[in-house]
Amino acid sequence: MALALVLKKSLSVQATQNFFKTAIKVDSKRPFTQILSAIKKEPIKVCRESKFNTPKRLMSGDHGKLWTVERGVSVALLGMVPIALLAHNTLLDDVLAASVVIHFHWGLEANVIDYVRPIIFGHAVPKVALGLLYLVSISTLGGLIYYNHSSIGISNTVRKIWKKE
Amino acid sequence: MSREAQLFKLCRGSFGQVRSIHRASTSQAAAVQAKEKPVKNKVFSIYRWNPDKSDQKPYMQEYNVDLNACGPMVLDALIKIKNEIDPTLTFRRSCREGICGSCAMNIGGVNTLACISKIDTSGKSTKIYPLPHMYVVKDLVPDMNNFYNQYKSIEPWLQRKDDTVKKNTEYLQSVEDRQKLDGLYECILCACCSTSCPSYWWNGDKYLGPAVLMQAYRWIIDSRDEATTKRLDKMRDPFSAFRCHTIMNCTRTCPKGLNPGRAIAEIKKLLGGVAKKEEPHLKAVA
Repeated sequence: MALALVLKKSLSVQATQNFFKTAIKVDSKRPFTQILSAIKKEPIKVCRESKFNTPKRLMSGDHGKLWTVERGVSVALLGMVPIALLAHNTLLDDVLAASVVIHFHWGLEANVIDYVRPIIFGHAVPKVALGLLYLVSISTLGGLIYYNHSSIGISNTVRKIWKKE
Repeated sequence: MSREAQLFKLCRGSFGQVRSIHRASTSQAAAVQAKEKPVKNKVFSIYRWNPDKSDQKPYMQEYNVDLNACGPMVLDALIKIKNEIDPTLTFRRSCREGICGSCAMNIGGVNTLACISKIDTSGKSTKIYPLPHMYVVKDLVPDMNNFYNQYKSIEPWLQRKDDTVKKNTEYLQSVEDRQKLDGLYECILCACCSTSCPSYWWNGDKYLGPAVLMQAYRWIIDSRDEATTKRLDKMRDPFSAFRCHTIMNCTRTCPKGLNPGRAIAEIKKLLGGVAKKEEPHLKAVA
């Protein structure tokens, strides 16, 4: 059987090249270690260490309630946008501004958390990125509310854009 | 019945024997014919990396396999390569029928089980990688420790308050309650879904991933299990379950045709207080 195998292998051109690679020199003194002795454990160890030494993120808090609110706002926006755009009411404009900004904010927050993560950027950068996002969102909201009260407001602006000249 | 027919009936066994002897002599001829089948070469481009040669970067190695001398599945080709061309090629395999989940790998860009995916015979080369975004131990063998630890963390066993009471009877479950587990318990934990999920790629250290979450859901809705609140409380944070962005790669790739995406959605509903676990139809302890 073994002879047949050897003959079969020697027939195949590709196999002959690799035939000697597979031959393991059997050490009679240490019967089972000859295969393992050559393995360096470093690469895998390095992988594991890098995983566990990375900074951990805040893992506390109940996200369930926020998730429900997020879905609620998403569904409410479906009705809120047309109503606010048709009504031309400053209060409704404010509500629209707030809900649209918070909706965008949650979406972008997920992006920031997913892509600017401590495992790549370390401790500081993710916090700065998240802080910047909050700054952008709050200033956008402030700007829109200011615009609603001191100028023509969101709904009227939309109407103006679509008005026939 | 005529005499001839009776005689035939009696001798049928021996006729069969004679025939099989006959066939044996022809089977050799058939083998020769099979050998003369035209060579149908197929190129497999396989990811190689050897931890012993830590200075060498991972590379793709191409192998030519004659499909007419090979089984129909990708695993057959891999075993053929390992047996006849390159014995250093390393991969996991066990059952060869899609029930053990050992041979999960990325074949032609899709995470699947090598043993139940047919070789693409269109003539193009097939690229085979280990499961994406996992630490590689060698060639096609990924490090599954994180995945298994996450599975361990959801405590995948039946938990009851009367655990301490030694009883000799089974816990009862109605047919309807049992049906809720269909499509969940069949998971073989091959990790095809988890490793196809971008969220799991980015946050695999914190996000449990579709496979583990589906098993968590399987125990959450089990009518006999009484640790539902504890199980849910463990995953209320923003990462364990809520990193799912309904990308649905998990459901698309599942080689067993299961739907982890739906299970995660149900968990989110339970966590968000939109849905509640139903009361068991049948008391587990009669």
